[in-house]
Amino acid sequence: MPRLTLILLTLAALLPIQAAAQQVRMVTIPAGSFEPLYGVVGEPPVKVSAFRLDERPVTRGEYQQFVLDNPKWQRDSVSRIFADAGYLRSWKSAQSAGDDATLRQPVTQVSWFAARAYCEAEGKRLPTTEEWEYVGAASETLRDASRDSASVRELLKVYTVGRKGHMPDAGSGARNYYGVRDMHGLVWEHVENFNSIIASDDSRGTAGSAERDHQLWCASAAIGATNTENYPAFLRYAVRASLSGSTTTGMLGFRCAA
Amino acid sequence: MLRRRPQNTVAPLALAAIVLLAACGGPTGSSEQGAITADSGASAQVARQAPSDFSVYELESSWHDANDAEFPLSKLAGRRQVLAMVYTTCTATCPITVAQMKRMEEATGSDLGFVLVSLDPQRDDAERLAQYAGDMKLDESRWTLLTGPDDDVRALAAVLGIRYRQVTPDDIAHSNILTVLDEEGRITYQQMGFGGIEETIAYLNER
Repeated sequence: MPRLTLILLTLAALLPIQAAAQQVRMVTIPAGSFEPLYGVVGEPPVKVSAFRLDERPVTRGEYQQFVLDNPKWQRDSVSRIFADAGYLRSWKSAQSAGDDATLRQPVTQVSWFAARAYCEAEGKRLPTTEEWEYVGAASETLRDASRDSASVRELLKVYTVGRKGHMPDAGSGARNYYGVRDMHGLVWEHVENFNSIIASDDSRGTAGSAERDHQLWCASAAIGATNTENYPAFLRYAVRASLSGSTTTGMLGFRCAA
Repeated sequence: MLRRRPQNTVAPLALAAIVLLAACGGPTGSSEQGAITADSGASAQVARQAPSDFSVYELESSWHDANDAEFPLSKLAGRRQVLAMVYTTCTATCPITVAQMKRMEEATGSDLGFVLVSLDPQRDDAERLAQYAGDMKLDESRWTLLTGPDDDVRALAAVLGIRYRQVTPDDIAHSNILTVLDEEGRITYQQMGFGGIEETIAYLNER
């Protein structure tokens, strides 16, 4: 009898996730510390306070509801300060993302400003880079797989081998150590402080660039990469470094935190 | 699908991570570096552009000036503005930024306004801004000093292409970028670093 109760309780706990597909589940992430790819030299690992993170990226369906509720975020109305011309360009119309079949896919072609506005409307916020990387460092079994060479190799493959077929639904990936899905391999994701300094992102090699960097990045000498083997992390930081507040791409989505 | 574009970025970025930058002791610290700027820096460090297709003043944000009065960005409209993001306890590069802006003030017509927005809103309250304006002898009729919530600072920085990060409790690493806004708040010109000052003055004097 107790066992049956337990089974029923477990089922009851799982059911709402299935039923309320439009309301994303949030996963509580315990406090901890991690070694960021770009740490401050000589500083201890970064501490992350406990927070909650959406289990999966925001879907097209959810974002469609957001633009219906907030017309100024429809593609015909949005100001160029907040989103470039690619914003929601693949949508069927300003109010419709398109076929029902696509509504569970992660929303992309959204800018940082747009992602921020969405999370705010949900009473949430974008995760910080540090929070995202803290959770993103996990594999399915390890809390921090960033120095596990098999995991890093696998991840690099996920990042660099093209996906065949269409975009999977958000949340269809495996749970990681924390129970969060699709941190890798589905879409790149916006973070609140994407415009934080990592190191010089300007190695474009013009004459005098050392001096220019020196002037641009006061105190940036203190920032350096800690784990130079971690190419997947370099890729993520590179993507973020290439963004502005209005950038949209077909592979860039987001999830919210609280 | 995630895939192609970022591959190109791996190598330069990895390189960037390896090339650690020189210590931040002010740009006059090394004469060798200074020479590079004098010779070749200018043209690489300024970007004049067609007016942006948006106004910076569209940003929904809330600011206070050095008198602790609410200050919507739209109040800056009607006059060309030179804008920089600094913080008052910054000793390395911000004084140079302000000094360069003062040079622009002297070397150009009086239609220009100058705006300093704090990157350190925790410390830079109105009182500190007022103190700073006094210390730096900034003419109230032409200079606006603003402080606002973290979120709005980050958003303005995002619009201007400024990157920053708290590195130690006392230091914020940040891009030194001067932005020129036209009367409607559209970005028309940016100076990255300090090498382009003469070119910037010439630009400002074009009309």
